[in-house]
Amino acid sequence: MSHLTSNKARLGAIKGVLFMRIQELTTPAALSRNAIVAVASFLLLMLLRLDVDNAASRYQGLVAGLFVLKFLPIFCLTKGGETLRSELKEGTIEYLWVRPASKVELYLGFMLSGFLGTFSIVGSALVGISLAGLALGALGGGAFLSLWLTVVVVVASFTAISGAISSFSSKFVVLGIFYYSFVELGLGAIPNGVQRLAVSFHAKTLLNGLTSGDGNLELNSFAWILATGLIGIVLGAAIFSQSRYVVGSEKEA
Amino acid sequence: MKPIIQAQELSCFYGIVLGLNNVSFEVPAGITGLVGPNGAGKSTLIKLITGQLAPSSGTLRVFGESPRNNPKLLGHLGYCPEREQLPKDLRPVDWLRALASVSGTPWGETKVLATKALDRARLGQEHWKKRIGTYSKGMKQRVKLAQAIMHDPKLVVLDEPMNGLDPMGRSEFGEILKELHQGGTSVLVSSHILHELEFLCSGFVMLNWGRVLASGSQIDIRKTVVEWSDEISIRCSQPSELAAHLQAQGLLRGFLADGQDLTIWVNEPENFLAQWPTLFAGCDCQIFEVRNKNQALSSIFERMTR
Repeated sequence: MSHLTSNKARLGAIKGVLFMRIQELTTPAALSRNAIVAVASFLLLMLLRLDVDNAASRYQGLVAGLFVLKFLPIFCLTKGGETLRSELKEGTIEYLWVRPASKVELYLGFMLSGFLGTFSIVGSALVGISLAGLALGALGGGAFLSLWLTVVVVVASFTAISGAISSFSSKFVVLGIFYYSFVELGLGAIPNGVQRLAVSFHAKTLLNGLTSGDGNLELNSFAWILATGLIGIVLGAAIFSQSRYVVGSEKEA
Repeated sequence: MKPIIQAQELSCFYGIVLGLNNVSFEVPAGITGLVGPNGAGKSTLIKLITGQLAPSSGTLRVFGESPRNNPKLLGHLGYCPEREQLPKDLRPVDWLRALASVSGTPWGETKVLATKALDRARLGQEHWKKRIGTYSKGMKQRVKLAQAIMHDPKLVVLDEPMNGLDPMGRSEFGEILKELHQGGTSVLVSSHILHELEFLCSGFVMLNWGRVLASGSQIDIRKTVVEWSDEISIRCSQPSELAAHLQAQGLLRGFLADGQDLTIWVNEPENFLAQWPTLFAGCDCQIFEVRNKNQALSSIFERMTR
């Protein structure tokens, strides 16, 4: 008698895919890489001490302007869809979709593991950045919380968008950069409400707390960012569940 | 006995490229070989059976149900794909646990299932701590088999599982498949190396250019298409003595002995093969194998595609 006919575990596909990702992210090589990222980020920002008077303001400018608003969108939009695409390219997805699991659940598993993969690097960098901020006296308690929450939701949102793109195209890296250029840089620069479509616009609002030093947990901005991510997840899951993929190649659905 | 797989005028096209063309066949319970050269349509058929592809036309039933978008049925199937890629950073137990969880097994039960499956696939416990990326080809094939049989499926579908295995590995793999069958699991195994399956399978589906050339047992297929050859190969302990024994009975037109191999040319091959145990009686010689040249699956296939 098959083991699968009774007591089917809830959200088993998500758990299974996440478990695999966690195992991959906790190999000695992956942990060493994350440690290097954290140390490198810390040391680079500590160079700001060479100019003690302006260290705090320069730190805030670098973290908000460069790390959160430039690096994170590009990094997440080009890496977020990697889990799904590498499963398709290597063909290991075949082991998953011949199992009695819904494709939507599998997709959610891919997205969450994509988030974990992205955040393992971003989080490591953020540890280094935060420690440097504390050491430089540029990061207070409120700003610290504001920075971490902003980064988490921004990574989640951009990863979801990248996942949605990867569900219909293997060229998700190129399309991710297009998305960043047109939506984040293009629409984000248009006033009168259109800029609200850009995640970066809301991230910028949230990061105002970094300079004021007391944090800025504006729920409206969080909601916009998370809603964008949610749309990405729903769109990606719908495309993934309805598409026929060619496994083991770069061909499109 | 009710067939486990039934295909009726089944076709599958990839755009304008032909995968399978209007094929009809039935597969009974047991170990069945899916044979044919590369590009014959074996993998397409396997993908249809495992629900990965939808038929372009016709019907396919596995245990009486359509496999496409049928999670309940998929729970009774095990599948081992042809491609070698496995998650290289994972240990086999962890990978199998994750797959069991994807199948809906409660997390607490996954470890027992995974270890039991690895034991059944004869992957030594000393290798379980290593990451799959460090495994040899044979070990990877065992892990692939383990994930396919982990949940005690009613049907295991294996796509070219013996690719790259040495003769010892192939033989051991065959033993595992026989054990599975004895445990009540049916097996559908594909290969383009026909002699691999000859001694393993009770039935065959022969494919070429997207069409089924023949299906049924080897004997059934042979009866319909193959003439008997007068050339018979025998592997035995004392070929010269056996040849002399047969010649004394007036059965041979000629013979050639080489090491443990004896090739004989007989007058009435069909009668000879039907009666050989009696004809060999009285000769103090150990018989390992008797083969008619045209009995070989490869020979049947060669004739059918001619």
